[in-house]
Amino acid sequence: MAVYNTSGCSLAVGGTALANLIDATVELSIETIDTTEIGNLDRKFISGIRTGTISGNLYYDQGNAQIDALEKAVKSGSSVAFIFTLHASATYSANAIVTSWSPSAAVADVVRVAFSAQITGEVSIG
Amino acid sequence: MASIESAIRAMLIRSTLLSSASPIDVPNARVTHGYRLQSSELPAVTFEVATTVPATIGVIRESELTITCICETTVDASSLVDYIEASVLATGTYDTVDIHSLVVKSKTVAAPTAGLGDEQEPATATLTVTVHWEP
Repeated sequence: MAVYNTSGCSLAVGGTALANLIDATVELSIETIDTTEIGNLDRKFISGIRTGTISGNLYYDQGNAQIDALEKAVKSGSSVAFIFTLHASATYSANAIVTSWSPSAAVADVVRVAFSAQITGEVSIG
Repeated sequence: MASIESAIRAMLIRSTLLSSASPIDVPNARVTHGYRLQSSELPAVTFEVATTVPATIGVIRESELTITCICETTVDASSLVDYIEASVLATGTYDTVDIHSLVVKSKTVAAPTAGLGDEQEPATATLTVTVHWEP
């Protein structure tokens, strides 16, 4: 079994890797529907609707095209094409709507931003 | 290959900012990495880069930079460190290294003290800076 460090990781926005990325997370989930019947002793489920979110933190730089695109997307509501690469040939690809964009500043620190996005449609796992 | 140390020195000695435009002129030869010889002339500036760590998923790195101004008097050391903070620290590309940010974390001024015997040890003013950079 191989173990990978983050040197091969990236989060691409519109096909170009996002610069200044501190960390990133993709969370995939699927709802379940209870199909337990009267007389069953064990609860039963079937799978339901899938969904997911993408989130991360980065150093803020409005002059960077991909960061600027995310910032504009949270205002326009347009979906953005993300590709999260974990290592060579291991990717999650999805379109997502940027749902939060939180720049922050503190004394004796650099300007950062936290963002999250709601995946819309199917996630392609490659 | 360029290093963060060579880039920091290039930033400090650029455009004669320290050697002739400074309130306390420091010739380039007296801007040194790590230490200065005990018998060398004052004023002098030393710098040290410690604890370099990855800062992003990518190429940006974060280092702790310490710049020490060594002068005969506290006033000179304090003036020099203030000048470096205000006019010499600047982002940019130095010796092919991109310095993206320089965040001053602390400044310490130490008065000259009496050493062994009758000699006086110089005053020092130290600036601690967090640097984000890209090789």
